Amino acid sequence: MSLASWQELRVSGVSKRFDGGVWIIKDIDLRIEKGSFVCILGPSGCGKSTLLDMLAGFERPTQGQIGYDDRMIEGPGPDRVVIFQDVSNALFPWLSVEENVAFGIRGQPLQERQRLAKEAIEQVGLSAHLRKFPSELSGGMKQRAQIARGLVMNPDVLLMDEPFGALDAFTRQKLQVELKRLWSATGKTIVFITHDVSEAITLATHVIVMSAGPGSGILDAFEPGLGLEATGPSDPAWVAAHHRLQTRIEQAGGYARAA
Amino acid sequence: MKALWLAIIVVGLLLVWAAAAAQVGNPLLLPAPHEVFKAAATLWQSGDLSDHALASLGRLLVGLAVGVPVGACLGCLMGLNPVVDALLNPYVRFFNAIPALALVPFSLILLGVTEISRYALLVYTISLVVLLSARQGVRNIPRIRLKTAESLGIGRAATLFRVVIPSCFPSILAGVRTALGLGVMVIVAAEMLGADSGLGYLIMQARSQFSMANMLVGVIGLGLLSLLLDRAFVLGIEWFFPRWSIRRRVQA
Repeated sequence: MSLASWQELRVSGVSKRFDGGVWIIKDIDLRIEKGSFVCILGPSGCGKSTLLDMLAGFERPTQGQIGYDDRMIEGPGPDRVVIFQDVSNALFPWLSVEENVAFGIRGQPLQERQRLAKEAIEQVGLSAHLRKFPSELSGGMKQRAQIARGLVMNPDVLLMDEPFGALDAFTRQKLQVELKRLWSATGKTIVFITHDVSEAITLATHVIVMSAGPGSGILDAFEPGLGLEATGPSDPAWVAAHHRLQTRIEQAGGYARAA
Repeated sequence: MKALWLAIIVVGLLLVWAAAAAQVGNPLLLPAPHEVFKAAATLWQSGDLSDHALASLGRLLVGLAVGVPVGACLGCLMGLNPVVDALLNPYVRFFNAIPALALVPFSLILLGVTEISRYALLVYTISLVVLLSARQGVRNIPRIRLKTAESLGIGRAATLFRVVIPSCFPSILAGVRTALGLGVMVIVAAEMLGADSGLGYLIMQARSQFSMANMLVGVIGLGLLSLLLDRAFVLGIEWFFPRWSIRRRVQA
């Protein structure tokens, strides 16, 4: 579901804590341009998933605001579909791939829903597995199905919470390449959480580095500036960008927050 | 292969039984297998055996028809609503500790030696078991699954029907399967203390006639009835609800 025009997804002075506990994240300012591919990179426990939950509308900031330009985000909605890492629970086990992908489409006759679902399934290369159930799919195939279910909603933003974190290295790389291709073909805005520097370099137009928690903030912002074809260490530009980002993280004292 | 092992075990048990019967040497105390088979054949030919088995089965089905919907609805309600849960949970735990067997005399005096009294005991047992498994099923729904529905813009009512109920369906089925076994136990106890039909009645009648053979026919019949019910239940789920079939869930 696409919204009326907007320029940027704006996170302004956002802090979050639960029930008066310690601050998970503190004073985050972020501008995510429409059409960009933003990777939020940070160590485990730095609150990057909490940030994503707030972008999705599952959680509200304790302080600060999140919105499209000046329009505040009030709650979850199909303009910001979330792709979860735990795909075995994210897909409905009693529905086939096709039914899972069509799950969120509303206000359309059945045939149209099926047509849209098939189209999205083709985009992620799962056409041969339309009628299979999630338990019959590999982890990578399940994640493709979940991505198709997101794409079919035609959202403004795809929010991806370490979606490839549980996959083997080979499948992960393959899906990274395809996600990058899908992003460039559809022009969607993607916010992608990861703790993997290589993954961030491969995918992102903008890498946002978060410091270690608690009370984590933004340590650095980095633009790899790589093309679609740069997808791994076989590409010199990729290696250079990887090195530069790694160095900047180390210079900042690992992920420790600069005092 | 599985069938071969089953046959070996059954034949082995029969041999042990026959040897024990020969040792005892008194068919009034322990009849040999062939004498029990003969008794079974007689009871079958007269139509008594199937009448009694069907009487027990019919009562069980009535108990299920009332107990499963009541238990499933209350259990889901408790799983969904913390207020309802807090209100009802102490009573559920209280009654859960009281087996229907302990209530048989109470029920016979209060409701009389009637079908109603037997149905009441069955509904009591079945609805409690199904209630607890439905409640647990709702509570065990993965958070991610509900977040997925929210993120896709599915409303609350639609989430209930499209996510919550299908999610706890396997737990409810598991509860019904447990209730089948418990139901057989309860119905037999109720039939022993006041009924004119059913496998429980057959066993008590054999006791009063000092017919160990007929008694064993009743006992073995009960075991077979339970076994058949369980198999029929599993196959029925695979047939009617292939999406929730036990085989598929094992794979998942």
